[in-house]
Amino acid sequence: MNQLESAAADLVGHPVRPPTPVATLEDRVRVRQRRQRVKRSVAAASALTLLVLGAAVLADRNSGDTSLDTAGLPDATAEPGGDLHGILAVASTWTVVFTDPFADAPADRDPAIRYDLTSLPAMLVHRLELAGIEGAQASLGACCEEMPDPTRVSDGPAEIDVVVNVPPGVDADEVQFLLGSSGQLMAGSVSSRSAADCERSGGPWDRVVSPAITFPAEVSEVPSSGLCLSGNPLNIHQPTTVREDGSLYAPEDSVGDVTITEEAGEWSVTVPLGSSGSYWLGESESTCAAQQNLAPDVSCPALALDDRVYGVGDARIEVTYEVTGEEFDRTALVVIDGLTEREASLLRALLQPDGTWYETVASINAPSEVPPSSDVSVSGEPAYEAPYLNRWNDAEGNPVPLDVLMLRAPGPDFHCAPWPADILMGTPLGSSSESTEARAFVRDTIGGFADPDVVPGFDADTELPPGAIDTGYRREGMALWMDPTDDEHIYVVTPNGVEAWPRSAGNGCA
Amino acid sequence: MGAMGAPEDFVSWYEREHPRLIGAALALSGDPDLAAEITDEAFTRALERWERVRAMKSPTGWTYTVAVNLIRRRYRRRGLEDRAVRRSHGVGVSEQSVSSADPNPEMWAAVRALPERQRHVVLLRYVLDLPEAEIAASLEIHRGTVASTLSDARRSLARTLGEQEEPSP
Repeated sequence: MNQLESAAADLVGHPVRPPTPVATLEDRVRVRQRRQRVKRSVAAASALTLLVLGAAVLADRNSGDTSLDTAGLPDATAEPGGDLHGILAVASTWTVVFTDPFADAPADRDPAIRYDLTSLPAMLVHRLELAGIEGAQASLGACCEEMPDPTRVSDGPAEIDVVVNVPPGVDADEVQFLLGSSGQLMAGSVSSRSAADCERSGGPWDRVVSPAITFPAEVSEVPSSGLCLSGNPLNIHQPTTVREDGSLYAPEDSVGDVTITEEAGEWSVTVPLGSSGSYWLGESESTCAAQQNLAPDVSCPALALDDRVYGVGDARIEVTYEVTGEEFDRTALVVIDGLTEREASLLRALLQPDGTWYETVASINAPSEVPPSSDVSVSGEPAYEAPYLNRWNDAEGNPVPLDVLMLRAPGPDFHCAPWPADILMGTPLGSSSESTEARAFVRDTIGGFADPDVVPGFDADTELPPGAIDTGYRREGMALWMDPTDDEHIYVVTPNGVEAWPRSAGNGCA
Repeated sequence: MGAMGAPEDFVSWYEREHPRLIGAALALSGDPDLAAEITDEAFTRALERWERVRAMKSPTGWTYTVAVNLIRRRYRRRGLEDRAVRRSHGVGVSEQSVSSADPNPEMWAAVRALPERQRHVVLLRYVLDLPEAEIAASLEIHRGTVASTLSDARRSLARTLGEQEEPSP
């Protein structure tokens, strides 16, 4: 017996722990099965809601009307403490209406009605208005700690509470406020919160009108340079961590008052110094050098913004940043061609001397003349540089955004997905996997060996089940079919036959 | 798994393979607590899918790979946490240490230092005691590749440990 065999025999002969009783393993399995059932129920309900709200958004977009007819919507009502699922679209606006909020309130009630928006996976609120009540004010703040500035960026479950101050004596039938959101498509839930330390009075969430798309998602291409702007500036980069001390950036000046003027067909934008609101610092894995194609000779310098941002042209606004002696021309995110209102959103990214960075967003009233298909265009999607990400086309032959549907064929060395290929899609199919639950279906040619999350059922030579439907999506001879009664598998039809690809509980880490 | 509990063939397989898998997990991680936790999780997943796992060419190989993936994820996460702590304190933390429960720490440290494929082939062959065919199926490589990889690994270990290379069995 050689040394290796001897060492192995020692290791196996003297295990570091005795086996856990099988009954314990059984208990774990039962718990997981219960969780799976609950998760599937919730997912089904969420998918239905998203589908209906998405259809309403599309209908609204196609009509070019910012007001949304909610007559056909299901009762998108969240009971106090309940959840409401919806889509916060790019630069969308939510109208939140409380009906008869003071019906049960005592005469000496606290003027502040506090509601919390929680469980939003990611959002940025840049606009909060209160309508309908003279003398009333609304603000956003951390739980029980009002913030003077209504702009907040949140990464991860947001804890944004809306504080509506209505003076006693005002007999309001309705309190309404708008939440403007800028950033990537996102989904989440809005709920009132009953945290013991966060007193709340007033009525329930009566109605949350799904977002009216008020600004095109399509943005101009952003060339790489020394500044840390995302490929799609509207696609706000959400760093995964905050600065260690958790502090928020609160400079003296604000970009809240962006002004845009037109003269002889030329647009110009003026932004004051500084930024508004809070910011989150990225961690080292999200540094500009790694993600933003930082020019090699620029080592994340401290930036000083000029107090003027110039815009010229009929389709985009050029923004000039002064960068400590070096000047970089940047393309802002604003596409204003054809818009009748002088409204825009502007995002800035600013590097810190230590290489971290923050972003700010300013927005003024958004235009209503939105090209019907602007936010499904692939031209505004972030730059995906990984060569193994492959695009599908829809039934009309139009390219499909990668975050909606993509084929990944990364090869054996890709640690996130060691199988030959998979298809990543949003839920339901057609929605963005960035904003909804991402699902991965795996060409699991080795029977689930590569990943414990892959469900059984890969079949390299099968038949389409009865009732399977053609999704219309195509890619190089592949047609994507799905069985409405089975969300654990998809079917890839090629001239050579039909393959069943099982779902993976994970979706890789790409 | 039905209401009657775990199938009998799972129970016997589990009792037989547990010492091997926890040994392999320990050899891979150098951390007995982590090895125990990962082994439990891997067997739980096997029980959860037993009807399918039992039909595989190598249920043990599948469970080993589950353990490998879990360990990899754990260390990836731990790496992120360590980097965050290093940023705040300027020191490294959680340097992987060789377990005192490991009777041959130098050997397994050397195995951990092998290239990934060699490392897995060694553990599948010697700790999990799998035949070449099952190793090949588990790693999705040819049987000939298993043999050559094992030979390379043995040579590399012999150099590292300073022992005379032994002829292949």
